[in-house]
Amino acid sequence: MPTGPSYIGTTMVLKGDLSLTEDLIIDGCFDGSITQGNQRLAIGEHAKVRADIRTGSAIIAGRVDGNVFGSSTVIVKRTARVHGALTAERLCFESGADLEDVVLSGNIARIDSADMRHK
Amino acid sequence: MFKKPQAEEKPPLTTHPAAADPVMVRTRSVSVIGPTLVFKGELSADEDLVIQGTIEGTIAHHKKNLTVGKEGRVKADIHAASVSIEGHVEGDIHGDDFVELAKSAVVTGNIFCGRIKMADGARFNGSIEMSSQPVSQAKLTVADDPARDPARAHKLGA
Repeated sequence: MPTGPSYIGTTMVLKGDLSLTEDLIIDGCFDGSITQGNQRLAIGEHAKVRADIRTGSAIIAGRVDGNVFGSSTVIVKRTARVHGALTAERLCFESGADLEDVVLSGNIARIDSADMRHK
Repeated sequence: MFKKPQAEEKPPLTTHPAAADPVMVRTRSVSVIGPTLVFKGELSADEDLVIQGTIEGTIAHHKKNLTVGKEGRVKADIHAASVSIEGHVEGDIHGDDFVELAKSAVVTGNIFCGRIKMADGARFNGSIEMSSQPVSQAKLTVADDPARDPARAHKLGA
């Protein structure tokens, strides 16, 4: 039996409420809410997530519509498209990240030239 | 002196994106619902799936294999090409090809399948309906007219 993080693959589509206390990787589609403990969440480049997310630390490389709360660090990769509020103790952005109407709260550790657009 | 090799330690998630990359690039061919994961809602997939956690709702998983691991708890109707159960399932199980119940399996519901394998010790309450031909085709002749969907009819050689 495989061990390690939970993995939602590219062809998976989940609609509903998810809670867990282990690491999670999402490469598929998710619609609903994600409640995680102090663990890690990775949202892959091709993932589409429409959810309010509560997690420990997160790496976002895909598309996220919703509010993200990280008790530790949230890293937004250059391939990410985020729409919502990002709250974390520490926020980190890679150059090129597409942040549309994003509200940020927390210590911004690094922000290069992320494309921040506000309507 | 007998220091643990560092590789055994879980790498901490640092603030540097590059350092966190191994998490991102991990590729798998199987989706995994881990033991602490609880999901309520609709789940569909077109890849192999292992459920070690708790799923409540519906599982539509038509073309691939589904495994409910020992720690898995499923309260849902399951549709998959093949289904292996080692944990608890409450709901109907539709395995187009086959359904397998391991000795640790506890199933309450009906099983619809082409073939079945049930280990000594498996607990099962319900009925089993087996088709003489694979369920996918048996269903097709009743529920679906292939003529309505030429692409599908062609695929099935009808």
